[in-house]
Amino acid sequence: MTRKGLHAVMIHGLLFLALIVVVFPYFWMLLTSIKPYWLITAPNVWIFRPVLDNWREVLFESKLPLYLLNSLIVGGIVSVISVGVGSLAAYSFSRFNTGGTPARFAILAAQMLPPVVLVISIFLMMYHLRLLKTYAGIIVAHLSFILPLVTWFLIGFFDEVPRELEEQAMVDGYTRFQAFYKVGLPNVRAGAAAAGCFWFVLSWNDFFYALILTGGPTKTLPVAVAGFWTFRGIEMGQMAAAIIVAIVPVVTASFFVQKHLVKGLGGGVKY
Amino acid sequence: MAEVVLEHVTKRFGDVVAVKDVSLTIADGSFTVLLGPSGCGKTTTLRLIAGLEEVTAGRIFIGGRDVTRLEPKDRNVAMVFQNYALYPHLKVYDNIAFGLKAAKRPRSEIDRKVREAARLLGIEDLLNRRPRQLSGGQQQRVAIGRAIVRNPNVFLFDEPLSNLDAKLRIQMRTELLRLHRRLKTTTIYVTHDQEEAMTLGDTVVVMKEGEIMQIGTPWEIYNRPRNIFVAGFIGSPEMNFLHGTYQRGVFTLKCGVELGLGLFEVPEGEAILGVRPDDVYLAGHGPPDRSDPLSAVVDVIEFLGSRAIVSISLGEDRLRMVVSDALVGSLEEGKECRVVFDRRKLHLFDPRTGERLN
Repeated sequence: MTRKGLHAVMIHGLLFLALIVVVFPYFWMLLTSIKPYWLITAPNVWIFRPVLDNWREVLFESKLPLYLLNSLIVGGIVSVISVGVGSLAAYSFSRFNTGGTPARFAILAAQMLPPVVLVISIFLMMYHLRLLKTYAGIIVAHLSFILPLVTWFLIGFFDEVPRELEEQAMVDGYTRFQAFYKVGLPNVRAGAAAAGCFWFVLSWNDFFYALILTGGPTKTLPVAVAGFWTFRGIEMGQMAAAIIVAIVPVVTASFFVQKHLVKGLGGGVKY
Repeated sequence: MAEVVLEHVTKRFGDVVAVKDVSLTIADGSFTVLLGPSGCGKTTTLRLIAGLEEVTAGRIFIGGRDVTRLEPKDRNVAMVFQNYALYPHLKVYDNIAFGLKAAKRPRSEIDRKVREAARLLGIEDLLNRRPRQLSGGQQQRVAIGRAIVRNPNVFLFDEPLSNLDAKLRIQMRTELLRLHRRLKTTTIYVTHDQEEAMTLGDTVVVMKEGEIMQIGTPWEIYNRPRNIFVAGFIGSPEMNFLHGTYQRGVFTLKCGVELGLGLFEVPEGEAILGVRPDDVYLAGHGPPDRSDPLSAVVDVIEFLGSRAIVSISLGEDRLRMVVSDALVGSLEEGKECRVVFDRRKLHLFDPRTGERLN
């Protein structure tokens, strides 16, 4: 075997090992979700007759589909608002240097703190605003940390779009806003798309804020999944099925947007 | 088409004065070049006319209309940027049509104008491409096409040729001139390249540190520079400057060498004598109206093909002269030679103010 061939085999071997490490937990969960209940506590049993009891339970007898919808609604609205507002804010930072360099970093200030520091004040605010257990409450809470991230992320993208493009548009008869909308925005769309997906996932996966701010019919998926940990014990099989339900949409979505993600996260517009 | 007038225009960025009290009238249909070294305020002046920067003081008129406070979109000017600023997300066709769409022209008219401009510039085959698939010269044409379809009052060019290679630059230069002859639209063109300025402009405005040094035809700028800056900036190789004293028709160099010039009606005293390398001749080959011959020593000969640039020492001063290849054979480095100046083409400057004396 040539040196080059050996090299390739080694690399692929390593990648394969890494893949096993990454994929194994998912595989184990899938297995657990189809195990009969008397084998749930026996993780070393690999061969059994699969049953769909857990899935039937989760999909048709629990309220999980409702919580799935909640997560979709919250994540969707958060993404749309954060990309919409974030791109305007980022444009302003990039083009007018709003607030100077300190402001660019100040917008991330809240990220420097662990969420638990903020959650009490957010809870109290939501309580007084009567936004507990509402979509609006959890959306605002998510925006409080996602919007600054999106803004910060998009500043870099706008910085890479030459100013002359918008100046050209303005000389050509467009207003500043039209120049932003027709020239600036289309040239950061890879970044904006990546940001949108990325932060949809962040909202989708959030457990902490959701646990404290949602409840009853507005629960989101992560909270619902944790809910299989009941006073009777952990419903391991149902939980595994619910986790897979929570993962599938995100994995599927990232499969379709991965091109944008790589392009977006890898360095902006090619000019 | 329109006349462009700048009245006492000043632009400050914080403490930096980029444009300082500039007053300028650009005639309708002229091709005016703003020329100067980088940081001289020429691009800022152009951006002020476009409306991309706001004036700190002064007023700007285009076609008799006060546009000082108008948005760029309301000034009816077209601009070509140094990097062409083509919209990467649009095809060539849509790039050219972009401004017409802003003006909400009917689709048939847009189509006709885009194709007409493309034909004029020879880019009809490229209309469906994206900007990044084009070469530098093609991108340049698209940028020009985008400017001309709008039929603006004024064209503004910001160093449009500086990203092209030397050969293409000369070709595009000719095309720009041809275009201007045909469209006769007032054109303001910024460059730091004197050759471009001389060949393109019917008027050249030389700027330095935000101020206008001289406004004139290329001939005037070259032959009658108003001050030592313009004299040194224009012309290649650069004009020779000799410090000395002028008295009773004789210019005495610091080292004591005397040059019999005897022609100027200028105040006597200290002066700087400027003479272009092209106006220094080997004795016996000079023009009829020449200075007395001087002894000099040949330092370095740089051969350029049809001519050579020869550095000579005149006492302690050094100067450069251009010698045709037929004569350069008679010279040898380290050997003496005799030179004369063309007396009609000598420039005297005041060493304190730098202003022209003769």
